[in-house]
Amino acid sequence: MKRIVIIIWIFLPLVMPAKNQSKLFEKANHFYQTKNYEKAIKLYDSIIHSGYISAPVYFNLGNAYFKLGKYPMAILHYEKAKKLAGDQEDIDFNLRFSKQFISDKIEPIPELMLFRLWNQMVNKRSSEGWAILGIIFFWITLFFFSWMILFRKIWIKKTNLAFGLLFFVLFIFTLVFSWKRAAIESRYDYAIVMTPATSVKSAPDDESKEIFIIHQGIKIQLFEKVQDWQKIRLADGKTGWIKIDDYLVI
Amino acid sequence: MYMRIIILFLFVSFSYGKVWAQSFTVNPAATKMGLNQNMQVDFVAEGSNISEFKPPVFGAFNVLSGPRQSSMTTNFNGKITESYTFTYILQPTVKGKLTIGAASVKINGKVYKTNPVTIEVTDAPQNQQSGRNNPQNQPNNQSVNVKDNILIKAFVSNENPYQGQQIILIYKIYTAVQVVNYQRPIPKLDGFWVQQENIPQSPQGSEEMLNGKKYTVATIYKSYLFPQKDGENIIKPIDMEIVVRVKSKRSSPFDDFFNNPFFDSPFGYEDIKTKVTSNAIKVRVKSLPTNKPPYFSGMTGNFNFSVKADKTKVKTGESITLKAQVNGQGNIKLIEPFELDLPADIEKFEPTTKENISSTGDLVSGSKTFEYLLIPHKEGDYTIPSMSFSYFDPTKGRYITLNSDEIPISVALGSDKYHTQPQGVEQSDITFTGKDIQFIRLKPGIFKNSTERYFLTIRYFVLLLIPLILFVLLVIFKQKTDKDKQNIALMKSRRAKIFARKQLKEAGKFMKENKAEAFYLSVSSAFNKYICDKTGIPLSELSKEKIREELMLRQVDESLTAGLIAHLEDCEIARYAPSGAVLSLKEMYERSVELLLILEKQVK
Repeated sequence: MKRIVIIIWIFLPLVMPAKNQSKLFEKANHFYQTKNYEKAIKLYDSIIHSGYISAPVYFNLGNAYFKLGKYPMAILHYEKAKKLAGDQEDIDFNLRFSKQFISDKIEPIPELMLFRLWNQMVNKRSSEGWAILGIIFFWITLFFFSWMILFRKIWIKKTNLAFGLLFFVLFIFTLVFSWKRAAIESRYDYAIVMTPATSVKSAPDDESKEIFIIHQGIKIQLFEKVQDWQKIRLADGKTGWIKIDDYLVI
Repeated sequence: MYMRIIILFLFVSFSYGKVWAQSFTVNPAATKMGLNQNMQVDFVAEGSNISEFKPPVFGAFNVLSGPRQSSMTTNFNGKITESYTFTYILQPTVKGKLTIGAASVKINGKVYKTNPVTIEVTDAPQNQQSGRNNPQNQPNNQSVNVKDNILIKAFVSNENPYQGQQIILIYKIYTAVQVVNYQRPIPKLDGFWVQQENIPQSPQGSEEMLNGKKYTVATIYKSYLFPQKDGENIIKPIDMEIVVRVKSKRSSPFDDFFNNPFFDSPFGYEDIKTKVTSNAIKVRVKSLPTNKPPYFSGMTGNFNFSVKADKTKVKTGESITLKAQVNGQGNIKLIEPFELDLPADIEKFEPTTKENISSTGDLVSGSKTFEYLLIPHKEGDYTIPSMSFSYFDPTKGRYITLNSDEIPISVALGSDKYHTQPQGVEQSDITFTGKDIQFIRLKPGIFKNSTERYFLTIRYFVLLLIPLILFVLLVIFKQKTDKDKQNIALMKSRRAKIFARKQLKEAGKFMKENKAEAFYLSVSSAFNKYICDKTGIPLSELSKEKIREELMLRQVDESLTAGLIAHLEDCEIARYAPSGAVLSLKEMYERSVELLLILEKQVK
């Protein structure tokens, strides 16, 4: 009996959808489809408040905000979905689409080709997705090693060893990717500006000079906090200080 | 004015007395005053970093002006103190003891409050307090007199219109005295769409009799209203402040002199500010019938509708301008662009809008034109479908739908292919127009606990450990079976001597019975089995070469190996050809026993 419980526990997260939340989700989708976006938002929010999150919930919530014309909120939730699930075609599309409706267009600092490819690879799956893939690769590795041991013929041993090592390298990569993604998923240092227009100051006090102005919907990176001021950086490298109630953290 | 100086003096001395202090005080100019007098009240805050001044509740006082702010910075022994003064001019509305509530301000982050102040308002002006003398300070009897001679009246052209039907709202001033100045009325018109008419500040007056009294009447406000809500809409009364010029009746030695009708000098007149309230108006708005046509524009009035294209024969890449025009009477400003369903090969741009609205007489009329720019990209014959405009006609009391004609368009292939793309517009901008975001996901995915971590959890390690344990078990199992196999071989080699001796003994028996064939068979099998058991070669694989190989590996003398092989050959020859036997059975037996003894010594 105990063994069964343990086995169920090991495989539980792969099969268990929270039933209550699924029902709420369907209801919210229904409201969305009948164009009752406010109610849909309320229901999606109630799922999140109950302590359960998933990329589709954030994605649909973003869509509902988009339909109401609240583009900064839409962008915020698309980014949250992206943070959970990595790069996915529909999330990326809607995020890019929503960004057309905000006033600030920022050219990000270009990254090295290799660095960009690496990031693209890491963001292909969520941390959990990479972990599961890693487990599969590890099983395959040991499978090949087992064949290597069991067979006497030299050439069979050699091919099995080669395949085993190949999958072991893949396993190591997934482990690194999973670790990288976990770091992305657990960081809270990016935010979306919510105030229609806010001036960015050179120092954390009211009297300091305004350096530039940013508008709602823009993504910022957060650094240190001084009382109710937050040091921020834009994608193009500009830095400054804004009030902490001007943004919502992704 | 001296009051102000006193206040300033007080304030200055105060601030010098307590330079580092932060304070917030209220300074009324007087504690006693007459009903028609005005009074100045100062709120003085000092300290540094003064913010968030919250005005008090003035109760029965009218605020004539304020808050007026003035600030001062004091530098005392290098210590800088700011002070702010918020000044109000107040007018009491009733007699008795009136209270000015507490005001609050934030000084250096801390909230300070003033004490409430009680002012006694009496009937008569208190001479010793009238620090100010301005036109508003007038004896009571004058304003009562003025109020009888001036009226504001509101009129609407139709008190029972349909929703969206235009009506007119007019305010008229009725006066028997000379009006010097008046505030423009700003009526609160909730539930109406308002289009205001410009009325000059000094309008033309006419004479009119009202309740047996002769008044000069002038329209001071006119606007066109379009009711937006059905049901009862009330236009609330407005309060207006009017300054009128009346003959002075102040008792003074010069009174008679200035009242002389022949001496009509401005010295004998004074300007009085008075408050006049208009009447309220109820407008009952009828809702529109429920059988609304599908393309109802929301307009109520009387309209014409036409759609025209500037060209009907074009080449690909050339543009067509399609004009949809509505003209007539009604709230034309609110007409929205028409939906235009076109074939995909004709590109449509957002329409430009032209409005031409005039409000002559009692009706707002005009026209609104939407210009659609169309660019066909492929040749062929197309039709611009009929467009519909529906409105409600209040005089007929029903909906009317106007349909435009369909417009056939024939497109020929343009000569220049570059023209198939509209110039000056970026391709990427076009591809995005009319597109939408991608649809929501219908499956909720895997719900996660928002507080849980998903990297290197126990579960992950367990899932990695399971196959690892299985693998280790496999390795152990494999090693054990290999060992067992070795053990069997060891046992066999140990028992090989015993088996071989037994076999030889049997051969000895056959020798005594003189059974030659059986004898040779057991001798050769004794040696074969012995070598098999010792080396672990299966019996089926045994051959002379193999024996030589295996014995060489075990470092057996070559002469001994050769002797053994020769002996086995002898046995075989003797077995199949008994006549060719060189040695007798007995000699053969003795040699066999000898060979086995030497073998046992050398083979390990």
